[in-house]
Amino acid sequence: MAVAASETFVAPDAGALLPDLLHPTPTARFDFEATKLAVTLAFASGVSGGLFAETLDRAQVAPSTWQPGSFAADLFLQNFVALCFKIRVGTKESAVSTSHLVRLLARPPQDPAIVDHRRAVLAELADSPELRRELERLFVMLLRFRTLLEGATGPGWDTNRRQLDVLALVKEIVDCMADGFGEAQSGLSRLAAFARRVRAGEAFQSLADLLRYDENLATLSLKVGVGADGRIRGFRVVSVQKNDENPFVTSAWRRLLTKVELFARGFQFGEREVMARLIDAVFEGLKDDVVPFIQLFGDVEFYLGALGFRDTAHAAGLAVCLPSFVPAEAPLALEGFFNPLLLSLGAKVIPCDVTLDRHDATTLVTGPNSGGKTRLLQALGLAQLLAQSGVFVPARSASLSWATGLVVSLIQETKADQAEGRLGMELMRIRALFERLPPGAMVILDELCSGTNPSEGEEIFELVVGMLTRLRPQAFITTHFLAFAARLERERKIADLRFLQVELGADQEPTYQFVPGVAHTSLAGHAAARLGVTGEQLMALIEHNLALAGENRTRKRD
Amino acid sequence: MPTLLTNSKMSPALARRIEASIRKGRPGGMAVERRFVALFRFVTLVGIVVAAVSLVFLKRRESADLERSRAELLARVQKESASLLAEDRSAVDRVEVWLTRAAGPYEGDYVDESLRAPGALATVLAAPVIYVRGPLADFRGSTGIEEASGSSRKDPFLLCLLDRPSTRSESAMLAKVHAAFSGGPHFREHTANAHRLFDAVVGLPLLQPSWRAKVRAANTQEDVVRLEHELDHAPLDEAKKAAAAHVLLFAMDEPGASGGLSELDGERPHDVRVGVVDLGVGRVWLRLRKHADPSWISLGKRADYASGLDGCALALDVHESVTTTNGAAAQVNYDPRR
Repeated sequence: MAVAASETFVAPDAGALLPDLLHPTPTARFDFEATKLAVTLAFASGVSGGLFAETLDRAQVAPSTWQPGSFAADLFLQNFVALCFKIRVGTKESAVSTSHLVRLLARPPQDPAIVDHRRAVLAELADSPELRRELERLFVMLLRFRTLLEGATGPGWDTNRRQLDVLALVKEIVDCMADGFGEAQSGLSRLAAFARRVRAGEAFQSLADLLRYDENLATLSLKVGVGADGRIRGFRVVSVQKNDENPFVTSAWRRLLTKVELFARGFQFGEREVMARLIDAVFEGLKDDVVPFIQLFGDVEFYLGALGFRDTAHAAGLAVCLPSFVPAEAPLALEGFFNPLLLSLGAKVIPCDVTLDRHDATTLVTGPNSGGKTRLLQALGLAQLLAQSGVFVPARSASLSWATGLVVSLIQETKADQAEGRLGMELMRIRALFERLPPGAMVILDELCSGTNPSEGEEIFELVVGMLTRLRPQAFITTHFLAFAARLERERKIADLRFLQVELGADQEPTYQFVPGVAHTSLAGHAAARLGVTGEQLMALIEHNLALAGENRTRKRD
Repeated sequence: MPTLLTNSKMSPALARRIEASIRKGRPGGMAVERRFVALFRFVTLVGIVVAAVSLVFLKRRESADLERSRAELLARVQKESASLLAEDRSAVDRVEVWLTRAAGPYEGDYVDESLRAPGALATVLAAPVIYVRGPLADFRGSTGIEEASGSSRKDPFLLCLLDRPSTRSESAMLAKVHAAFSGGPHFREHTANAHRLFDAVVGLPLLQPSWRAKVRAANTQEDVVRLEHELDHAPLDEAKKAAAAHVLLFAMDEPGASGGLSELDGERPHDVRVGVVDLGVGRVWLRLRKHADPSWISLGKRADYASGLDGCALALDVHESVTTTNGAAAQVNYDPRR
C-alpha cells in the first residue's frame, strides 16, 4: 500500500513556530511562498474568492497508509462530515470546508503520536468550556478575516479602510490566541506561544501603532456653547494634544511634503496614498505570521467540527468518546455504539453493544433483512476511521485496535459500462481487495458472493474467508448463507472465525442488538409483509388494476 | 532611497519596509508604469517651472523694455521742449483769441501809424510770423481754427506780402504766383520767417506736460511705439518756431455774394479780412477788409491762377493801404486800371 502524500510533506523548521494544531511537530502543510503571494494579492485587491478553500484543499496531510478510494464512498464520508461535523457558535451555524475535513479524516496519520496529539487537544476542549469558547471566538475572527480577505470589492469600497479592518482583525486574532490559550496544556498552548512570539516582534508593535494612529491622531479638547433653545451655537478648541510618541504621527508640514514626494514618485497625491504606503509596510512585516492563519482556520474547523459531532450525538441522547487503543489480540468492546449517519434521518437511533474476544478475527454477521447489519458495518468503519483520525467515535466507550488500512465494500451499484455481471463484478472486487490489503487492516464486506447460486457462492465465500485470515485482518462480513455460516461455526475449520447475529425480540422482530451466534432465519417473510409483498397483498393490487382498466374501457365506449 | 514618510521615531525595520513599499509601489501594481508616471510628472513639472520662469523673465524684460522706451521717449520730449518758453506753450491759445475776435463783427479798418513809415511793414513782417488763411466761419471756434490751419499753406498772398512784386502787372504777380506754387528756393527764402499755424496746432501738444503724462501712462510697448511714431512725424521744429513767432498774420475769406460766378479754382468775388497782430505785446498792427475779385485777370490765366493772382493782388492792396496817407481806415480796393 502506498503512503499517501508523504513525499512532499514539509519537514519542521526549527526556527519557525507555527500555530499547527494537528501535529505534535509544527508543520507548514501548504506551499508557503505561493500562499504568501496569494495572501498579499488578496490583501491588496480584496479579490481572491476561494483563497482559503483552495489552500486547504491543496494542503498536505500527515503520512497515512490508508487509501480513501477503498472506503470513502462506501462509508458516505462526505455525507458524514456534512451532516455531523457542524460548527455552531451561539445560534449561528457556519459552513465548514467539507472537502478539507474529508481529506483529513480519510487519511488517518500512520504516526500514533499525531493521533495522541489530536486526542489531547480534543480532550482538553471537551473538558474546558472556557477553552472551547476561546476557540470558537478565534474561529469567528478567522471567519471574518477570511471574508474580508477574500471578497471585499465593490464601487465606493475604501481599500485603505478594508486593509485597516484586516489589520485590526489580525491584531484581535493574535491577542485572542495570546490571552485565550495561555493556560492550555495540550497542543492548544502552541497558539499562545505563537501569539506571544508575534506580539514581541517589531511588526506587531508597528501594527498596534498604526491602528492607534488611525483611531487617534490627536485629542482635541473643546468647549461647546449651547444656546437657550438647546442648540449648539459654537465651540472653542481648548487644547490639542498630539500623540507624539506614536511613530506614525508627524507634523502637518511633513505630511504635506510627504504627499508631494509620493506624487513626484508616481503615486497619487493625498492622505490616502500616505496611509496606503504605511499599511503596506506594516502588513509586509506581518505577512509571514498571517499566512499560517489559513492552515489554522482548517485546524480549528477540524476540532470544532469534532465537537459539533459530539454535540449532535448528545442532542440525540447518545454519547461519543475518545476510544482506547488496545493490541489486536485484546477484546473489542463497543458500548452504546451507533451509526452516526442515522443522526441525520431524524429517526430514533438505538445504540448497541458489540464485543468480541479479539480484534484480529473474521466475524460473520447474520440476521434478518433490515436488521441493522449493513448499518453496523458502516458504523464499524466510521468508528475505526474517526478513532485513528484522533477524534470522537460514536460509542459511549470503545476499545479499538490500530488498523493499517480499511477496505469497505458495501454498495453494489450497477453501472452501464460494467464488463461483467453481478458475480463477475463481485469476483473483481475480491481480487482488488487482495491486491491492496495490507496485514492488520480492517475489512468490511456486505453480503459476500450473494450474486450466484448459494452452493457455488459458498465455495468462493469459504475460500475468501480462509485466505483473509492469513493477513490477520479485522474482518466483518455479512451473509444470508445461514446454513453455510452455521456449518462454519459448527466445523470450526477456519481459525479465528467469529459469529454475530442480529438479536430478535419475543415478537421475532430485530432489536438492533448483536449477540454471538448464527441467525436461523433471514425473516424475509417479515420484510415482505412489511413492504407489502405477501400473496394477499399482491392479489389485491392485481384486482384493483383490473377494475381500473374495466372502468377506462367503459368510459371510452361512452 | 530615503523618504519623508519615515522618521527617527520608527524602528529601522519599519523604515526599511516603508522605503521598500515606496520602491515597489502597490502590490500587483506595475512599478515600471509608476516610473513612467513619475517621469511624466517630473517632465511636466519642469516644463511648467520653465514656462513660468520664462514668462516671468519675459514679463520683466518686457517691462524693462517698456520702461526704457518710455524713458527714451520722455527724454526726447524733454529735449525737444527744453527750448520752449512758458509763453510759447500757450501760443496757440493766444492766437486763437485773436483769430476768434477778428472773425467776429468787423471792427473796421485800422493801420498803426508806425507802419506808415517806409519799410515799416516789411520790418514788422521780417520778424517770425505765424500765418493762417481760411474761411471766416472757421475762425469762430477752436475746432474750426484747427481745420482751417490744416488747409492753410504758404501761398501767393504771403509771398507777395513779404516780397512785394515790383509792379502791379499781371505778369509780375504771375511770377510770384509761380514761385509760390512751385515752392522753389526763392519762395522758401522769402517766406522763411513765416510759419504755419497748423505746425503749432499739431506739434505743440506733444511738447506739453499732458502728452508726457500720456507717455508715462502707456502700459504696453505698442502704446509707446504709437506715441513714438506720433512724435517722429510731428513737425516739432516748425511748431517751436511757430510758437515763438511774435507776429500773427491772418487772412479770413468772407463768403462771396450769392449767385456770383466762381473760377475753376474756387476764386470768386468776396471780401477778405487781413490782420497783423503783435503777439508779444498784444497790439494790432493793422486790420483791413479788402475785396477780391478775379475779374481783372486775363481769361488765359484766370482758369489756372485766379486764386493765386487774387492773393497776390490782395497783398499789394495791403501794402498800398499801409502806405496811403489819407486815412488808415480807407478802403483800398484793387483797380486794374491803376
